[in-house]
Amino acid sequence: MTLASAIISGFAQSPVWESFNQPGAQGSVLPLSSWVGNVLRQPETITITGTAKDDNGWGAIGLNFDASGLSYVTILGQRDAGNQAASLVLQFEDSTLMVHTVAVSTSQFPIGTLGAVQFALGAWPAGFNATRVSGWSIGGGTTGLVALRMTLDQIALSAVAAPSLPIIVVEPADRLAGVGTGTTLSVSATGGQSLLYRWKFNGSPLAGATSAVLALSDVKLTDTGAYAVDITNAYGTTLSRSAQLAVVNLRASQTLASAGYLAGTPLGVGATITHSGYSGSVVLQVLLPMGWNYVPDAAANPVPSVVAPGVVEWRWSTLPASPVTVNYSVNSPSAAKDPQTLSGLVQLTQAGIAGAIALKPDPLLVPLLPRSHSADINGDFRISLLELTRVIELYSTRKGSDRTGAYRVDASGEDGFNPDGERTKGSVNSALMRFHSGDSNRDGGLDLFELLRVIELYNVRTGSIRTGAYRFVSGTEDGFEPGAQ
Amino acid sequence: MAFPLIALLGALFAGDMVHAQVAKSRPVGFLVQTIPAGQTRSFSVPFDADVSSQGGTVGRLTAVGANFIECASARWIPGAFSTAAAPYFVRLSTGGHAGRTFGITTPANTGTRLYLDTDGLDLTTVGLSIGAAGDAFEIIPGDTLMTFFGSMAVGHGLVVQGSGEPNTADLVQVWSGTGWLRYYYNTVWLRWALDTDTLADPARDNVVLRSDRGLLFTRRGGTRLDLAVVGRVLAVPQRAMHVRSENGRTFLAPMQTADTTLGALALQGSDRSVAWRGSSDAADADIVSVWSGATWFNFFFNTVAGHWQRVGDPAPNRDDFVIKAGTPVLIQRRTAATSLPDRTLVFPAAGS
Repeated sequence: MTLASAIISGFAQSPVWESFNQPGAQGSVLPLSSWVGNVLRQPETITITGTAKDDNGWGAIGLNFDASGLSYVTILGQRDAGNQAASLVLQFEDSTLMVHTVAVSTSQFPIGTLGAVQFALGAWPAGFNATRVSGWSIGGGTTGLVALRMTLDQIALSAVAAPSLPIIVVEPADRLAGVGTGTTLSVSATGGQSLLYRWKFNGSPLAGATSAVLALSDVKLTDTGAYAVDITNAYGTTLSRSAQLAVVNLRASQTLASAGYLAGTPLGVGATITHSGYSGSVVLQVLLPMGWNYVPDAAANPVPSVVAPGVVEWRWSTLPASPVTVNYSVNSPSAAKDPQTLSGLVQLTQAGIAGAIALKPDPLLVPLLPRSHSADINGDFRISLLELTRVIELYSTRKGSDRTGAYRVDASGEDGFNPDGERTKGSVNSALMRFHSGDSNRDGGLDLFELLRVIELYNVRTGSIRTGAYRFVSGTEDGFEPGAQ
Repeated sequence: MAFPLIALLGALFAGDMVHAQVAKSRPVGFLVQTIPAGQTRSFSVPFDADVSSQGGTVGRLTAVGANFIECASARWIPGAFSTAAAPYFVRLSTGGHAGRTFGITTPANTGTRLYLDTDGLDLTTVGLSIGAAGDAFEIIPGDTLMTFFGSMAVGHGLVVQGSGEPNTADLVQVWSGTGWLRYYYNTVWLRWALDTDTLADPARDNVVLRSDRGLLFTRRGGTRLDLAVVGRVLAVPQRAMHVRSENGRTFLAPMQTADTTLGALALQGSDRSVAWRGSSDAADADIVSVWSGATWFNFFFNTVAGHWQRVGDPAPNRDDFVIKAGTPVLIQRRTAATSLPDRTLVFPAAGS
């Protein structure tokens, strides 16, 4: 008898329903089931093997057992290699062949070692004569779909929840983390209110690691190894599986190509991955601010894809030599305002273990750049005499003998514009790609009032000294006002 | 009349094909069959589906061929009942074969002719009445895997748990005659598939769920699944064809809308079956198997004791064993036979 089975049978409220002992078992292999010839009998256990499937293959009939008042089932068993059955199903029948069927996930049983799994029997169905249970069976509860590979030691029924060793419901999972980042390992277990946890690294206890969650920060390459946790209650200790932590020498960062963004204009961004000794696959994802769009670049290598609105993704099955940099552009909405942020994640998979590293800084702040006046050719937020002269040049555009003030968008112009000598006086071109800041009525031409406004900005003084300083502001006719930034 | 609307609709659509002097609707019922998480349940639909929206779905036989029936006054839309995605059945509702069901198959129906899947019967040899007082029939909408359980196609809803592989998906199991065909919804391929299928195999969306057969459903989802079905109670005895090769098995829907018992089914009776093989030895007797929820309960008729008995169970009399409404039964006949009566089982009429 194992320690765990001793715990079950030693509990006064847990009469053993089936011991699986040989001799002494209540049940036997059910005729016609796939278990026939596929059950390995040990003195205290049965092991389902060979070509057995997940139909119910063990049980008994012709009984007369009073199960009224019993509410819990505790099964001592283990999953064996090759098990594909999702459920272990226990069925009781009364003398009229009414049935009561309960199922428990096989994933609750430990692999390769016996463990006790307890679950509620549930309410007996209306009309079921629980005072006279006449038969039962156990198996996967199907017609024989997939292989059932388990070793069963004992089934006990009890009126109240029987105490047992802690039972791990969710084992700690393998983790992959980048040097200098953090990660967490966690376990979920049942078995009483006062469970004690003790995490171990490569078999040695970790000081202070006594909760269900082990948080590791600023991990180093030397933190790579096996992590497991002992969970203890009054009835003993259950050891979790060993979760592997792989710390990889890989860092990721992101930068802006400029000091910030101008609403409605492209912004360059770069992401860089530096690595050493990493051999897995990488997926880089960046999350754009709401309403921003990736600017497609067919020449990019690799070409990213927009996997969801505002989510751009690059993939490498194997990373090129370090450093790996991707440069991309994003468009902000013309109505964008306020500082924005960019976030990015590098998803890593190496040797079957997955992890993720955030791009640093996380998030990356994207300031909103103050907008300069079109007349301010050098962008110093001051209007100089030379710059004013350029505005006067545009104002002086003529068609024949008529002054029109017409201009057109022209990248060859020092300010991105040039006089448009083709347009006639009084004509309006409100379809320009963009307008000169001085063209406050946006008609594609500079009139005298608009020129005077630029001159007003040019004449801004501090004391007796003309500075020409202006600043971006909302609410004025041209979006600017006199004064320094 | 409990459902006058149906009677009115029947009169409107039937037109001159209705010969009865009194219009009478069939009782309507519903049944919820629950499959708990992680478990397998058997079920069948003990109702005929509601009347079809197609016109002219009741009539009388005016001619029959080996694998077709005709109704001279019908004005069917050619091909309307012969599409794979929307199957239909013909239910004979009067005459010596009332309660018998056939799937409508290809060639495509004409304006007056329906080609039927007769399970190998030659309809010209079974004594169907034709003409003005010929046997009456009704055309009933059927279901496929996709129409009953849904899909992930736009406009559909998938009511089962699908998966990219069969071991984690809900399974719909159909008895093929020699084994279980296990279907699941493949969420990668976006179609119904057999558990043995590869990507190159055809979609199983249009696999027909025969109204006279049962299914097994294995629930892999983490919650129970409730399957609610509604329809019209069969007013005549269900006459089901079953396999009569040696030890052949058929998973039949008895169309019982209320709980019944082995004794009430009385399949050993000559009015229910031909040459039902009873014995004091289960190994020599025909077997009725009922899925208990985790295993099969197998029964045989003990001719010495004169009652039903469970295989391997010393308890003597299982005549009162309850077969719940909608529960199919797996019939195993020990001896071979081929004639029509030999291959027919008659279940009690559930309503009238």
